[in-house]
Amino acid sequence: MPVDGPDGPRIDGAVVLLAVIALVAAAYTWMAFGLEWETRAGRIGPGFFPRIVGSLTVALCLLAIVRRVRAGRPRGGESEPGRARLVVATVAVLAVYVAVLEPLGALIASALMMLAILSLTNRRRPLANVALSVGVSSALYALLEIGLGAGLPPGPLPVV
Amino acid sequence: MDVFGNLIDGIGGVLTPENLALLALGVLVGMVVGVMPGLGPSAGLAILLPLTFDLEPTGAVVMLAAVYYGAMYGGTITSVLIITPGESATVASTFDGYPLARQGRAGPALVMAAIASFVAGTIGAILISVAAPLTASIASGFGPPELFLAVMAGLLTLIVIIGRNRLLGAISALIGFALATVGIDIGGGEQRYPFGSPELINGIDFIPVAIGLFGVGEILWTLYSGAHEKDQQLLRVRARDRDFWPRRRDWLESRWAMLRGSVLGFFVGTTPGAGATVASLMSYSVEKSVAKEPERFGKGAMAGLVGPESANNAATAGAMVPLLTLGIPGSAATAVLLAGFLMWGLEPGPLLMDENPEFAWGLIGSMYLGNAMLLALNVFCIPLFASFARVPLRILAPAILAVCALGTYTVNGSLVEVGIMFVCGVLGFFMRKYGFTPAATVIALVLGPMAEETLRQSMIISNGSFGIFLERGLSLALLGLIAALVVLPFVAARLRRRRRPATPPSGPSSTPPRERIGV
Repeated sequence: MPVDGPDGPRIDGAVVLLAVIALVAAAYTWMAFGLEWETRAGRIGPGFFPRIVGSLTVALCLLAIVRRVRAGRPRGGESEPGRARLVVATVAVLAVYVAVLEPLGALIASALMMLAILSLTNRRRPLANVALSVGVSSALYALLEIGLGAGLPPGPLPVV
Repeated sequence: MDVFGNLIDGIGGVLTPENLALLALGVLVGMVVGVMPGLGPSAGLAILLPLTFDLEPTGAVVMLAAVYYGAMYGGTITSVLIITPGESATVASTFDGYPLARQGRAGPALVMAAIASFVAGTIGAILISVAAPLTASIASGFGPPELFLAVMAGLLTLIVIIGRNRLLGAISALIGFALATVGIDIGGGEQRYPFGSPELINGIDFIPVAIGLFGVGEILWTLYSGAHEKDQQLLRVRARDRDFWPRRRDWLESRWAMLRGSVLGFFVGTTPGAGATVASLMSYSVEKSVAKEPERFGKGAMAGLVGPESANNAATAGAMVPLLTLGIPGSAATAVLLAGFLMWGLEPGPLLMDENPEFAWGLIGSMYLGNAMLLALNVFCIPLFASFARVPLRILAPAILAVCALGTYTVNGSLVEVGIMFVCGVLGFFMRKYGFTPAATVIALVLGPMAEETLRQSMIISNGSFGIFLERGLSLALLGLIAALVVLPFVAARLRRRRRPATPPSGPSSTPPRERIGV
């Protein structure tokens, strides 16, 4: 039988994530109600599957939230905290990378992205980071664009 | 036998210079992928899939399958040398592999693992040659109701077996189904969830989601856990060392473990969700229980390494049976292969072996040849591949992220897909952190259209009545299986509670332990 822990109900990152998923699923389900459940010919309509999937997702998320909150905080405290700032910084770099990928081109944008992340993970070797960023991004660009004709964005560089 | 004639034809079909080159390239790339912490077969396959679009389907799938089992063996190298499994299927290889390496026997351990993989791959190729046509003939009696239930059963099996938490596993699968509904409804042509984006009108492509969940998500998790801050202290292994090769005793200890692991692994591998990880762990338990000296397990027993290695390799062959004959992937890696098949215009299912025999038997034949190539490369290149594990993750991580982004861009030249990929990467990170099952999301994304279409067809056949699922013998059998999968975890938990010995009261104020809630 679930009981509250001695420190009260457990509201943590997992509960927040489940709540976000439930909200998105609720919006998804609401939009699905704007689609037909059944076509005029009496067949399954475009809203049939999404309504079932969305409703189930909301229901299971709410069930999971209730269970987790009622389970209470674990004895012995939470597990070891991770490098959250590093992850947030990496995600921010990646967001900028997507924004500049086409304007700057694959080669320059990838080199800058790699340099930014290496500056976070390999701080003590700035020169090596520059060399690695330029070298690896050039090799990747050569392999994908020149070797395989992948059609990567060239940016301001002359098309090879 | 006709079956073996087909296998020989399949092997012959792969024996072209181009296909052999692709096979060798796939094995090499797979081993490099497997050796690198932070990438596994699923991520490697997802990232490489876009690069195979210009190849012939047979050549492309030969290369991807080679990457798959190459990555499995690459994971073994890190398991043995640095007690870091390259992926979950090689966890069992750490139990005795690393102790062997600590005793200065890394060379014999890795050579025996390579031989075990070869033997298992050979046995797997023979078994799949028999099992695949048999399963296809049974599956040819499947209609839309059975196919729909088979998809549901496959996903449920995955959720019950693979996930830390079944409720979160079910939510993971539903997320995949939801993603699969974006785009044009096949039945009526209506747009669903386009949000004004031309890219979303065509639906969410599998590749950005797979690369995001497995590639980017894994890298973000690795950074979060701090694994990039540790420099690996690698145990060295050199082919010129006197003790590089196994001794006679190693062969004698391991021969039956290889055979048992191969057969066990193949049949476990055919079960969706079970796959190589469960197979390798089961094999370890079996070998320990039948060993004359079980106390040596965990301290460097060769059978404790060879059994799981055989099992995980044979399981990759077993996983091909439901994939080829039913079109149902049992793991994230086979889901990527299925996505590749669909992109090349092939329809895995009961008719694949009849309508595209050169493709199906070519794939099966390539599995045998790939294992032979793995053995040859492994034995002489183990030290070289081991050196890849020395590249620190803090340097590899941004390179892998660049490969993920550019690989995704090459698919359709779409920046929106690169964005979707990174959003899925963040989702994959949180899924890992909180015990969800990214594999279920990916498999549901691939199977979602098939599930909806077969359900639609079933309703058309039955004039809208769900009774069709109860009127057909095969459907009833699958419904029974689904019911068993839903009920089994609760029954198992109840049995476990009954078997626990009653703890005597420790004092006047004894209270029962708090029951773990599985969320």
